[in-house]
Amino acid sequence: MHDQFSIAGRTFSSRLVVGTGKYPSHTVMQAAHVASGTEMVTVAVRRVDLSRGADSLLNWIDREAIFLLPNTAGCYTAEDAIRTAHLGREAGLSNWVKLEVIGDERTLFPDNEALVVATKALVRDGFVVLPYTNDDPVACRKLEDAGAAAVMPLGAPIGSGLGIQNPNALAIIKEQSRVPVIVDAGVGTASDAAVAMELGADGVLMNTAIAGAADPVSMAAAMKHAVIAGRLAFLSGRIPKKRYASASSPVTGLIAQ
Amino acid sequence: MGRGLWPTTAIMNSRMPLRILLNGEPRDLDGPLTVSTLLAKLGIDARLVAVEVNRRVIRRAQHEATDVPDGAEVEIVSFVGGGRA
Repeated sequence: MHDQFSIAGRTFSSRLVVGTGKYPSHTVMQAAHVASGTEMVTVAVRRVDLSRGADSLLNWIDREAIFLLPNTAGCYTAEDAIRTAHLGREAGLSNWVKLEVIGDERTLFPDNEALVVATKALVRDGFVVLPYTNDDPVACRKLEDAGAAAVMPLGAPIGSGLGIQNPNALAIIKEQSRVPVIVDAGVGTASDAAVAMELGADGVLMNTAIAGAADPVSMAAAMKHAVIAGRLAFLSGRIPKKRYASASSPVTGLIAQ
Repeated sequence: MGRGLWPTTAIMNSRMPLRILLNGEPRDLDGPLTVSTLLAKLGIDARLVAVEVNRRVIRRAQHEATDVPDGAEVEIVSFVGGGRA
């Protein structure tokens, strides 16, 4: 029913990528992942709490069904992001990384200059790099040229739930990209995910929209349907937008004529 | 205690007190240490973590062969929940 897509030679049936943070519990997280139908989740790399031992997060993720994507969340410099990526690779034994280099603490907008530096370095070290970036076609093009395997423009600030703030820019990014485009950040509810897919995005990544919902498991299911619906709508070729009405029923054969 | 009388015991009991920086905090331990023995002392399963010694990631296959010297900066990380900073 839905088509597959590939990043760096790896194929996915689900176009919804989900995070692992901010859930009320590991149990809820696991149920939400299943409900979402996701095949890839992001995880953060952090120091082990030595008083408690290594985190058991991996016990709650079925690695047969779900691919782990380490991220460099919390990194404000290219150097930190590169280090974190290397550690993530070692901990997870995969060479993929969701690259984040943050430029501003309040908005969590990316530092695009540092992203390009980190992308080049990590690509050289054999990583598959998926950078989170702005809804800026120039930034996306630079990251693609630097060797990114996909680009991940934001819909709105991380965790803001504002939805797709700049649909025109996302459509332009999709038009110009030779790598998959995954809208990452800012999704608040199901319609936002559908809008992203209708604009032609290859996938959507979200965390807070699901984890922070009153009922994360049911919201995860909603998102699953929204991404499928949006993708189908995109493939089906929508009608154009018109200023005026265009009658749906015949204008002849009316009883009042 | 003489080396001649109890050579094996003397070697097994030889300890070097070490101070390392572990996840940002100073920690005193009995050496000599390798990454493997350090993780064992901390009760950490090597398969769940990644380890850096002095800013170099130490691959799992090298844990046993890599020493943790006095003054080393060690980072032990694993995956935690996170979509975001």
